[in-house]
Amino acid sequence: MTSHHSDPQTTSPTRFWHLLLAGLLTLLTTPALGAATATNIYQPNHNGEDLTELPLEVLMDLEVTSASRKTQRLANTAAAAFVISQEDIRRSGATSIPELLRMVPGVQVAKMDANKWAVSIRGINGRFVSKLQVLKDGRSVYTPLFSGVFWESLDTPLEDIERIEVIRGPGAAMWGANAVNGVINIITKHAIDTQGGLLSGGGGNSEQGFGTARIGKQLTDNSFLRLYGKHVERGKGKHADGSDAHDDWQLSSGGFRFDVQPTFNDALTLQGDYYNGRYNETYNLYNLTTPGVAEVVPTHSTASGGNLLARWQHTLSDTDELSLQLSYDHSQRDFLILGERRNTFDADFQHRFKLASSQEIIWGLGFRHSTDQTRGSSTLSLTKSSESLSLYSLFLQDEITLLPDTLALIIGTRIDHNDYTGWEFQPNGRLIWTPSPQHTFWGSVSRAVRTPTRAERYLQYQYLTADTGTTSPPLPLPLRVEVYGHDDFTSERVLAYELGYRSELNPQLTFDLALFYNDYSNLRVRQNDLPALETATNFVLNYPLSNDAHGHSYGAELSTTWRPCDWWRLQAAYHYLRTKVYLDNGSDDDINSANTADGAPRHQLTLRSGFDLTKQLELDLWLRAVSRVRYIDRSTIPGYVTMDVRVAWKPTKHLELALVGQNLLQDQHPEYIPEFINTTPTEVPRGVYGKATLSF
Amino acid sequence: MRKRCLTYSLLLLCWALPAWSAPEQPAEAQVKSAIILNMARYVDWPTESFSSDGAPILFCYSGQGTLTASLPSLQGKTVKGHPVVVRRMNTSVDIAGCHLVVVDATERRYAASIIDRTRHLPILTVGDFSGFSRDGGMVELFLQDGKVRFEINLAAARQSHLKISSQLLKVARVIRGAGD
Repeated sequence: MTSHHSDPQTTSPTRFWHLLLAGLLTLLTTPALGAATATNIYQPNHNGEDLTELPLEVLMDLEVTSASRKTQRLANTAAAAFVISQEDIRRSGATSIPELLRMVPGVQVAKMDANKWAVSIRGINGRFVSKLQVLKDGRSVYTPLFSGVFWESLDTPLEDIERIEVIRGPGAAMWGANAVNGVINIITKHAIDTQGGLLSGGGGNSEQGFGTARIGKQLTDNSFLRLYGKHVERGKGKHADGSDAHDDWQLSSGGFRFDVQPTFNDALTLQGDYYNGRYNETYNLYNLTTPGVAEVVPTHSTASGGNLLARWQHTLSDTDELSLQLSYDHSQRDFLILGERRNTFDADFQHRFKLASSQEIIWGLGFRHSTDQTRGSSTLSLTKSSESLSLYSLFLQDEITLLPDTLALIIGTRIDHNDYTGWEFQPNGRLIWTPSPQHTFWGSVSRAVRTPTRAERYLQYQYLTADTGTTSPPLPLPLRVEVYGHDDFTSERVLAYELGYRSELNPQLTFDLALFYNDYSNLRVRQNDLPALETATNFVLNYPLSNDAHGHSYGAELSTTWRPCDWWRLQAAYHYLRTKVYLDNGSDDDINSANTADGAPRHQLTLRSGFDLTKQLELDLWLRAVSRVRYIDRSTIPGYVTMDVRVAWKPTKHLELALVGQNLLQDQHPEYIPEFINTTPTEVPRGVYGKATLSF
Repeated sequence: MRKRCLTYSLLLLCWALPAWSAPEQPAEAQVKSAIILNMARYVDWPTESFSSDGAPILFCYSGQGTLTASLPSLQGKTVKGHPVVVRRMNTSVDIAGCHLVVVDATERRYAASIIDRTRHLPILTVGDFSGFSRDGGMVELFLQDGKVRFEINLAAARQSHLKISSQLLKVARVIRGAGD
């Protein structure tokens, strides 16, 4: 697809650099902040007074600031971690999980059409992106079909999310295969935190209509229940010429979470969801009878499914904890050219305990069994139409304190057994140094693998084209192109080196920097064969998938939060990323290297600003600048700068009215060109919606 | 140029405005800790709760929230001559020796069992989340118009043989009869 649209606005980032610079200058020249740095947070320091010496009446008359509750665990992690809090979610104006992920440095989010997203961490992006582990409340939501995530079906009410933890870099030792470039863990609120009722709804041009109803109830002294229902109607994207695309969609979902605390030392969670979605899309099909004619087929796909999860946590002591989690997931998807029905059962056991005073051990066992049945078409099919796969795993991690509160070494490994490649060994070593509570340095070396998917083993994708210009010299006859999987296909591997620094100079100013170098081997490529005469009427060009590429990537990720004053919060995130992929045989195949090498922007900057104008009025601005992305066949998506604005008014404690503008800086912009499966890409239009949230 | 000017003035305003409209505000957790200490000074424990007049008074907590993080600053203060010792509870077994237990909002799921275990013991239970006193906890901290307030469940305190000064009750919201 060639796209012709207005040039991205390149002046805006300059303005924001001014803002940042101004901010830093003010910071340096303001003695108040510098002084606060030295203050121990435990020491009451209210204008020099010791609060504990004040009489009760005076204490009760003090106005206080409510510090946002932050996750302690991640602050001390020897990994590149970022947390999206409920407050970040509420103030972002975003309406889906992938849109929220745009605020995380090192995460690339591209919208392919109104109902498809490509999300990756540290590069190599695609809808069928394969190097991420995505969990919802600890339950893996990626599909073994292609090791990717159907983001369009993952539609938990955003109000119910406690936080989203994003860990860049190999998380394999803890989370298992597929966590090559990162882990995204979506954590929903404990049922106790969603007591009472919530009704929210709204609509606009792009977000046509949405509504959520949630009710929380205390059942007994120590058990709590939450029920929710949600429906969304989402509008169309745009074709490059500005006309409406055929990609609007709707999704209904519902679910529950039940939490009970039968004893002081036991916690039990039961939760489940069901969803049913319908997604319009347009395929460009090259059929096998009329060569070269791409048939444009407007159609729709459907997806439905449900899951159930039970988790038991047992505390033996403060340093000794057990957990057991069982889950079952069913999904059914029908695309024009492929259907899939899948059942997955998963069991996980984990035990954390202290071994002597200086060592903390976490170990666990896992088992997953997944069965599927697929329906193919003449274009796309799996040569083995149904499959049953088992995965066994064991992991062990030891955190050794070398100097109390200052230096710790973490070593661990994960050993998996899967049906395609057998045993996989994924070790990692980390060092974390905390010279003072304000500064943390860490470094790591880890190895991770991405095991083969169903598609990489059994795919058969073919079409007939008369567009013989793709070969040189042009062929005299039509060409049948066939891409297929192989049972020799093995795991992709990465050896990753990371360094990080994190500081919290004071609660108003935090800073996080991560550097990485990834060394990949056995990367997937489509091997380039020469066309051969197949029959008297056509040539054939075979593209077997193979592990014949290697490469490396490196980059830096930076994020900072600054609260210059109580009513203003600024958050910035930036990444720089380079990826190089080479074919093992040394041939300089342009298409192959371009395909895997890129698909991610080299620079990405997001800047969020949250103003509390009054106690009732909030103004949020979110600027995003993304540099050019190059794709297969040398097509590119130009860089863009865009902005979201949210204005919210809370007339009472129970009601919030918000007006949100999304992607405001241009009428529409493209973000992605889909690879492989030829659905028509569309562009992201400017959107405006209104939303009311009532809690009671 | 105008835009840059606006940026700088906004920053200036940002510094000037809070200073002019309101004095520096202390953190919620610090004020709550100070209130907990103060409150303890208005409570009479049975004499057998202390081995001697100068014996320490034990403040226990569970959870890792902002409130419990600021509690250790109370260490070494005194309550009616008893030096305060702050201790993190590892298991529910540890409760027995405590005089005061703080349940952080992050630990509310443990609240029911803590209340249950302390029911007839002379231990002042303080919860930092709504519903705590209604469910049988003794003191519940809450915010009202940005100020710290508390609610006292008198029946629960009486069951535990704790005497709460009327001066404290005067500034508290008192509920009676719940949680038995």
